[in-house]
Amino acid sequence: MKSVLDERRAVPRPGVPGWKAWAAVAVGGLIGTELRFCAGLLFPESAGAVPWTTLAINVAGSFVLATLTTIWIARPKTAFWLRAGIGPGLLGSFTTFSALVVVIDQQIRGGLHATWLAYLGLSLVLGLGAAAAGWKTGKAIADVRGGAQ
Amino acid sequence: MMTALLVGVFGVTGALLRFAVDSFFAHHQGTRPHWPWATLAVNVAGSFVIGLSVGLTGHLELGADWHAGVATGLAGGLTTFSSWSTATVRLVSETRYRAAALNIGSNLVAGLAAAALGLFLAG
Repeated sequence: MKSVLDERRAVPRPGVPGWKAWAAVAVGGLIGTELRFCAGLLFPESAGAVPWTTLAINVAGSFVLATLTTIWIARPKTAFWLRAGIGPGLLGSFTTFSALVVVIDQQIRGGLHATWLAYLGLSLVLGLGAAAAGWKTGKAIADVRGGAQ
Repeated sequence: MMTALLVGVFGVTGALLRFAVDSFFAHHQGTRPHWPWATLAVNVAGSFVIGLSVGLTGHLELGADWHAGVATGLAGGLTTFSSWSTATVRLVSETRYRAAALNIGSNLVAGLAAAALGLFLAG
């Protein structure tokens, strides 16, 4: 009986998330958005300049989300609302794709071809590199914890 | 202060919309192998919204605080970079290299096209 229950828990059929998950996403979304907004106030991105703040936010968020994702894969019992609040909620809202896209659009229109290619390249290399580093970090943490248990 | 409030309200709205799209795709996944459709959908939608808002700011007298609310809050909260990069690394870790490359390319191309369309429509 117990093994059947464990199996069900390990392979969940995704249904409509409960109210706790929605509430957690709302709270996480508020924190993530305001953090990004405050970072923009502290390190303003003037029009025409290279938006380093957006890049830094996306790199940092990618590392943390990838780290947590691998830890959560190793520990599927972590409460769903907590994962939803931190993952899609906080980190999903903290990082942004639209700001990256609109900046590249403006740089292309301005004829700044070297700039947009460099910015896009940096975002891809650093963003994906951070996610890959986070993926490995999370696996290492999960392995250490798993070995200790 | 007003700007921070608008950014927060719009940001929560964007996050909840993104979570709803995520949940919808997770629910209708079926037996196909996972591919981050939900992230593509929100990134394209949010890129369209930011294109619209940038285009409208020029001539609709959209106040700076409302512009920040829609661009930083709604479009920023709706779109996500971290899920996109993490999903790509996950596909690579499953040796699904073509799916990973498609994920990178489709978000960039469709996102840029959606932003350009938003700017054009706001004209």
